[in-house]
Amino acid sequence: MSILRRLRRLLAGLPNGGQGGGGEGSGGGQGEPVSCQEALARVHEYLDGELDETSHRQVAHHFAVCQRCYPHLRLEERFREFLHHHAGQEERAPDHLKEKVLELLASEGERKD
Amino acid sequence: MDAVFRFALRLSGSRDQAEDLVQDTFLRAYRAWDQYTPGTQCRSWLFTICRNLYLRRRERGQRHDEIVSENVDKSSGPFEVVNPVWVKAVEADPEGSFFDSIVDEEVLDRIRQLPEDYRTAVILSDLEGFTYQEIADLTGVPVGTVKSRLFRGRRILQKALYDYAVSMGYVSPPAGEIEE
Repeated sequence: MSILRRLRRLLAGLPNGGQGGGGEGSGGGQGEPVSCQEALARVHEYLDGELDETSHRQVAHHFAVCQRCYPHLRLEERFREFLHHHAGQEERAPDHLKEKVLELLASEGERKD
Repeated sequence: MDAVFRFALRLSGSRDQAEDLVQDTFLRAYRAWDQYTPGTQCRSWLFTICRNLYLRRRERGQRHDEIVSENVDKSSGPFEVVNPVWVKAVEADPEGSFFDSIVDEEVLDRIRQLPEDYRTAVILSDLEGFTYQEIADLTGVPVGTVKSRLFRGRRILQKALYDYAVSMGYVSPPAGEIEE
């Protein structure tokens, strides 16, 4: 456990009940700040909307106040926006393919009947 | 049908193959309609059929060692938490403006070059908006594996696009990397 964490626990009046003991103090309890490493490790889950509410708030708070990590979040967001708009999103199935599929399904239906 | 076509196209990288995959996907779905659970996502079901067809064809068309080599992650060692590509980009182009210069064809090409497992995860999450659980169900792997594939797939893609941008002069390499 880092010195900072110990200090935070002391200030918050939490018992230093050993490592990995679960409970309030372990694993990022309510409002507990996350480190740069933790925030960056969870950046994908954060942007994918896959974190629970508490973790989402913790990571969001970290990126809001950390000048070192925020640019990484921005680039990650830019990458996703870019992918979304430039990876053939407007691509449509050609008309001849749609017709062909309809024909196939129609003849399959006739065969079934 | 457009979504299945896009998925097939990104998976296979070929319009002809994508068209074949779409035809066979719909035919199989039609034949197996009684296996579809109403209320579940039809798109997921069609994508699953499409991917299975794609994998089966790829297996038939390639030798085992070719498939293995295609699926090997060529990036070396474990991935660091801090993305080294973004470390460079923060220095050279913190707004990521270099992305604006990369044309769609290059992006699709880089996606096609990803190992298949990573490619599928990235396509389903970043382009089709599936959740981790939906991707896990569709590909038959645990959610943890989906996370890891997404993490690695995105890192590889980010590096490939950044390196391409540098090679095209869309972004300047950090001072230490400029060749004398």
